[in-house]
Amino acid sequence: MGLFDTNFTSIDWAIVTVYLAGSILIGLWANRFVGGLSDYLVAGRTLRIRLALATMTGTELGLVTVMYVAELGYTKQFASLYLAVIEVGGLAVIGLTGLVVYRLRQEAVLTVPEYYQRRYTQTVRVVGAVMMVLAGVLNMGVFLKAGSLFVVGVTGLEDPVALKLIMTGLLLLVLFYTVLGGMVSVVITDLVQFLVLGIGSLVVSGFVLNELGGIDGLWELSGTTYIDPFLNDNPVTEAAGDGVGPWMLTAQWVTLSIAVMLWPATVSRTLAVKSPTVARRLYLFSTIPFLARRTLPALWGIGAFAFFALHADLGREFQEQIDAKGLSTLSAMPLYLAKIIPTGLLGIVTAAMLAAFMSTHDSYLLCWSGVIAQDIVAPLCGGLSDRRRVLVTRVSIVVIGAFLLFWGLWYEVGQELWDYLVITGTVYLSGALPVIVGGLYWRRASSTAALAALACGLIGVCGLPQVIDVINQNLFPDPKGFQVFPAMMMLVTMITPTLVFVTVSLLVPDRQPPGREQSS
Amino acid sequence: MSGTFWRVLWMAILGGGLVGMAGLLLAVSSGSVRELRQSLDELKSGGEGGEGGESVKPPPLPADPEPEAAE
Repeated sequence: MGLFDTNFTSIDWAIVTVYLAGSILIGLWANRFVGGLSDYLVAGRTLRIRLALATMTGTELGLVTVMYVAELGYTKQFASLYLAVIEVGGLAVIGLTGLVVYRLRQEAVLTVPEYYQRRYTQTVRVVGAVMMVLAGVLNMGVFLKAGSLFVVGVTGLEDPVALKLIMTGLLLLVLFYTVLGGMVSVVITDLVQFLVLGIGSLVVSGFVLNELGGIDGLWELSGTTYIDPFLNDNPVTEAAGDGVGPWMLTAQWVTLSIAVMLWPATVSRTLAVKSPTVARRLYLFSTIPFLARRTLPALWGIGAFAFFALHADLGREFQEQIDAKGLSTLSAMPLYLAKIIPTGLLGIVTAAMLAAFMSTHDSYLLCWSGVIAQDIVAPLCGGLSDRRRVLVTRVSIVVIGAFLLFWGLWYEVGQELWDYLVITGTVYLSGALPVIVGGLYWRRASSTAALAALACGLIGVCGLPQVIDVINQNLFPDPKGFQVFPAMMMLVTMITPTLVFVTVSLLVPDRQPPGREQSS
Repeated sequence: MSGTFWRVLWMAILGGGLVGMAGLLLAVSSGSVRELRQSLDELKSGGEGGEGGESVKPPPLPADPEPEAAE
């Protein structure tokens, strides 16, 4: 058996093609329901709890999530599941208390930056929107590559040109139906994708469990792999410091707790539901799909780890490819599934994963493009008609799509995919946290402080390994002395904007009560 | 913390994910299709309506944007 051997045949290609063609038809059909801006961006705020839950699952259980969670399962085995505990805990707290999301939905805004203007000033809105789009698009920049690596791994296509063509084709497909149908199209396709993906993920998990020897086999495996996330070193590898450890655990806890509350793509679904009560309940019920998204792909990654350990020749070949930069650990799971899922079923599973890919892309594209039209172009132009806003949103979707293609083709992720996502997300989250939470709960929160905190979010890029290397080389050149490390930098960049926000609010208060500005 | 604690915790979490996804599919699937039909009907007839008093509308605002004098 070779590393790229696969059960994927022409039957599977046919299944995938039929599924993708169906998505195009949905885009065409959904276009008839788009009457105005509200219909386009938040589906007219008509979503009830079951539909919102299904589509939120479709969005949040994206292929990029599947890929990075499986990668963590492969590299950190059972210890990677600590992220599930953090995320589900955060969602449960929000769902039970309504913290932030209830009040945010009460504001009845279309986007988060629109709230910035309602609470602060138009300048805060525009600056907040720019930061959000910058972080969001950078964050999304690796989705395309992760998705394509899955397709390449499952189908066994080794040709690098094939990877690029697949990336382009997938992106064009998502652009097509998102541009046409907006949130209505996104909701319909997300619902279909939720059903396909949900069933697909359970089928895959069944095969992986069977391959591992059932629950007994999984239990035995847990006794010989990495299980304690408080350990800095992963006991199954020789390298030092390749585990999680207390610093990273804390940094991930802080970042992920904030992300589940404020990540714009999630918030946009909150803003699309019928009422604040539904928004709160949506978070509570989302604990289930979020638990699934953090556990099922991790199980597949653990399965891939066991598979490559058992088939030592394949494991060696895979490691050689990683060392030669021909592959990354992201490819472990798709290469594994290509060998254990039978023909026919593999096509359905691939369609399910492409469903996951598209459901995340469409929501994210719509979210960032909506922010560009609604919160950057419209305020700067002194207002736009609904028709023009929809047009700007559609143009923005295409422009962001072009950037994603460019970025996805040349950017090489220098760390685990999840760490890249956390770091780029921090650029937005660290500034948005004090501005939104302070705005909702603290009367003294000031516009100047909001601007300062949002700008401070830019230091989030200091978490990238390339930047940390530069900092250490210039400020801490002694490798045996103090050195900045990623988890520490993540914490510093996450906390700094909040400290700046509180200080500036106290020093430079607003001269008029909050909430006086017109939303455009 | 002992190895057994972690092993039991992770097995429970993996089981929770599997059972949760299966339960979610059963509980949400049919209801969400019905709700989609309702939402599309509402969109056809103008949107933001539907189940009466729970929906939130933005507070009334002045017609023209104010200059940024507050800053």
